[in-house]
Amino acid sequence: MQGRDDHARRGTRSARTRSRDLWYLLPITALDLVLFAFPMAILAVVSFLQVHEFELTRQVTVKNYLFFLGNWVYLRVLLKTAVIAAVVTAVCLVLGYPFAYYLTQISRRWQRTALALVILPFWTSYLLRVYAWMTILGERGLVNKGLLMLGAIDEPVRFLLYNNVAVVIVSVYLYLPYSALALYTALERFDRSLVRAAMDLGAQPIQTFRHVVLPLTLPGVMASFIFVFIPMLGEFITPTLVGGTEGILIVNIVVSQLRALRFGTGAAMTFVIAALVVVLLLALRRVVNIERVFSS
Amino acid sequence: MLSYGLLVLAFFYLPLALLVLFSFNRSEIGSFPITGFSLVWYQRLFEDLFVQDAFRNSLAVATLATMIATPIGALGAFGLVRGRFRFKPVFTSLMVVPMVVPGLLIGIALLIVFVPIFRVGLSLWTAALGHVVILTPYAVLVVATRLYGFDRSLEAAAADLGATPLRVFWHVTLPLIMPGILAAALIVFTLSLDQFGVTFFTIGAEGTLPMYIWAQIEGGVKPTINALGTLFMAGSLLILLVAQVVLARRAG
Amino acid sequence: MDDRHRQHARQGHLSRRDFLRASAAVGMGMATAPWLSRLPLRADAAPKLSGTVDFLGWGGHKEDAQIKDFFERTGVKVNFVGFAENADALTKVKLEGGKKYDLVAIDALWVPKFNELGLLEPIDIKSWPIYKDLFDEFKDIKVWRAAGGKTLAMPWSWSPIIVWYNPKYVTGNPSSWDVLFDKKYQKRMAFERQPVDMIAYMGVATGAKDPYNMTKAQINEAKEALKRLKPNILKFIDDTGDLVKAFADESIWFTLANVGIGERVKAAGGPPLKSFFPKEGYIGYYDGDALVKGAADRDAALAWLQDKAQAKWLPMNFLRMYRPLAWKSGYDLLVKQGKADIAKAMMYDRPDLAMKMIVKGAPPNIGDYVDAFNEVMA
Repeated sequence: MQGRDDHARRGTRSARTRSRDLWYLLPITALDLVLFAFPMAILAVVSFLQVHEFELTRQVTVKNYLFFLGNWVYLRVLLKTAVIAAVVTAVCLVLGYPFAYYLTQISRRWQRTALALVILPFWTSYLLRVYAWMTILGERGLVNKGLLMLGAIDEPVRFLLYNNVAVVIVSVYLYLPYSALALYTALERFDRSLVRAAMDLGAQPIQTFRHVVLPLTLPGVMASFIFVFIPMLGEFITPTLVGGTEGILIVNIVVSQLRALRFGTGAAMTFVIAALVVVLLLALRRVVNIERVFSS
Repeated sequence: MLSYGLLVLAFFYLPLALLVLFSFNRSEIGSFPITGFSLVWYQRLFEDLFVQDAFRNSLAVATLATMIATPIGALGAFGLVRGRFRFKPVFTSLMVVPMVVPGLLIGIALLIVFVPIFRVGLSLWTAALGHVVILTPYAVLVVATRLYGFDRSLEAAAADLGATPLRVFWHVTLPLIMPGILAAALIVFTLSLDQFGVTFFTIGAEGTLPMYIWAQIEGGVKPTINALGTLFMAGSLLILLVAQVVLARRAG
Repeated sequence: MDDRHRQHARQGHLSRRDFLRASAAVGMGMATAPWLSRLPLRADAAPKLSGTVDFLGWGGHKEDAQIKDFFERTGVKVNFVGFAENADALTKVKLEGGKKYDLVAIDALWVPKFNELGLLEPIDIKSWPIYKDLFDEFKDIKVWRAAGGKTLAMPWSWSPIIVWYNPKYVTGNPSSWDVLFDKKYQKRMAFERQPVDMIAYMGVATGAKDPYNMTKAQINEAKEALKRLKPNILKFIDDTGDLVKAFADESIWFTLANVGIGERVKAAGGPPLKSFFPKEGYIGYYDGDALVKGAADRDAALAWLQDKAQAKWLPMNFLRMYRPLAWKSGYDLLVKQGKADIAKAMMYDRPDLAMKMIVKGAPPNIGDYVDAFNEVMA
């Protein structure tokens, strides 16, 4: 508010400020152009080139796209990746929402401690966090040990590791903090007197939730989507380590193409996924302001 | 409610606890069963020449990435928060895109540019550039947060008292946003230390710590990486604590 | 030629050193600076040989003691980078060549493939003192011959790839590939992550005579077999050490591996295993270490190769992996140490067999193999 008044007052200065402020954006624009936009453009070009005997040629082809988009087997993996990502996002929301809500209810000091505790695991090796799950879910892992000790099972269960279930469990573990934080930010900003007002006006709790709470926390939900669903589309480590033969995701296929030096098909696949990500982001931009989410 | 909160926290910390536990376990498989207390994995870790190299490489890459990403990000934040221009929302979204696009995909794009197209050998340099691309948005956002909460009347007051724009920036603006810049540097540094995706495709023969860990995991886990993980955790904790203290003092 | 190499080496070094120096300089203000500035000094101090030998080798085959010893004597570090499959190694070397890797371990008929693509520099192994230590069969491998009496790779080890199983759970003394497809053994198998070889194994299992040169129809048949096998596969692994572990904790009952797995599982405290040569046929390998063309640390790499094959190291290597080596000196030393029985059990005294197997190689249509594998696993 104050800033805007300020600006109105010194209208003469703001023209100069404006042009100077644009210069600030030059380095980052240059960086993104050279090291992000340009590589993506090259990727797009390469995705239309043919590879012969492990070398890129100048021959233009659409075969790389046909290879990916024209083969139901690979499309199915893409689809499956989206489904797994959606499941992980949903589980993160379901588990994260009450947790985030709970955080907003406790005292400021405890909130801060709890937030630090949520963030801390990020600062441990991501690879080791995935790896550690193998010692939990494995045939001789913690879960089986516990269940055996309790007498709940007679012999170790084997459906916990090396399949889609394992991919979901470990991914939820990796991404739950993101979604919890995003939801916390939304809930924390949200003015609770609105709920009281709605109740005072005679709204049922469910109605209040649907018409007041949900719309107001929707940005948090959308932000979770950005920080869970989208990175999941590019998850490679988790399926590789705990997915076994059935838990493969799309990036595993991309990497296998690159490992066979098929830059063309690899680039086409990468480009399709990256394009998907950017479209999703731009679509979500209307609903959620990323900077605001992050500022927590 | 409290029990649910604790349960979620327990879920977050269970794997980490196991990591610490196994790092002190004598067993050769780096997993259950627990066969007795031992420091042997720490000893092996310190004897491993390549861990030391990887550690040094990681610090070098993170330092370079921080030195590039932080100023660029801070300037960008200025432009975004202060600038008033058309398409600003679109611009903002585009600027944070590299942060959200999976690192592995950016790594692939960079690999294709670096290697078959321009024939630049992959090295720590290329890895550091990859880190800069995806970590700069973090610096932007962290500094922007600080700028949003910034009281511009202080700058106006200094200007009214006759300070040149440069002096205003140097004596008023910079000290006020310094905690934000330091926080940004810290976040970029720590994220760089653990960056896997983009590194995977952009690094040369000399590896960083995550590359070392990946090689260990891929090539049959040895319990030394549990020790490494534990030290990693302890180190990050230390950095965070120090940062907390420093930033609190600065802000106060 | 030589000079160019050396210059190349120096350049490779400079950039590496520059990097550390530059980042040390910018980071001077930070507490980490003392750490960063240490490396260049040490590199300067190194005497005759210098650099780091970047060795692209089979995952899990890193010999720590040997590497440490070599470093202490020469100041040269051997940076071991593991891979799981020949095609993967080919990709890595093709992409970056000598800028990144000095040496690469390659299987039998993959060696000529690497050479065809211009990735290797032949080595003059006949001039090395250790040359006489090779078994005669490995002294002059026909497909590895290069101009001027040189060879494309230094022979290392060999073995047939056979079916291993845990007799506690698998009865009836199987002798055919068929046993792997039995629905009883759901998720009880692990294999190395080698798409091309998996298709080749399936080819042999379905009657293909030339598993690395299969027609489309044969590949299709192999692919169908892999589809049937898939439910039985628990996971693919990148290092045979993981096979040993999985056998030891009995999470798997089957694998395809070299002759040494049984002993390694026993050594890891696992159950006794049994094995068989499938009656329909099997595949084997002999491998070697090749010098990458344009290797940045060429001289150090050649010095390391000659050091690696010294007789004194061989028994240790054999008793870790339990598969025969190409070096007679190792066998003689094992006999002297009273380990003739185990060496013979692992066919260390039968190098003639190595030359009679169908060995691993690069199919002319690798892409079809990779696609077949991916389409089953996707």
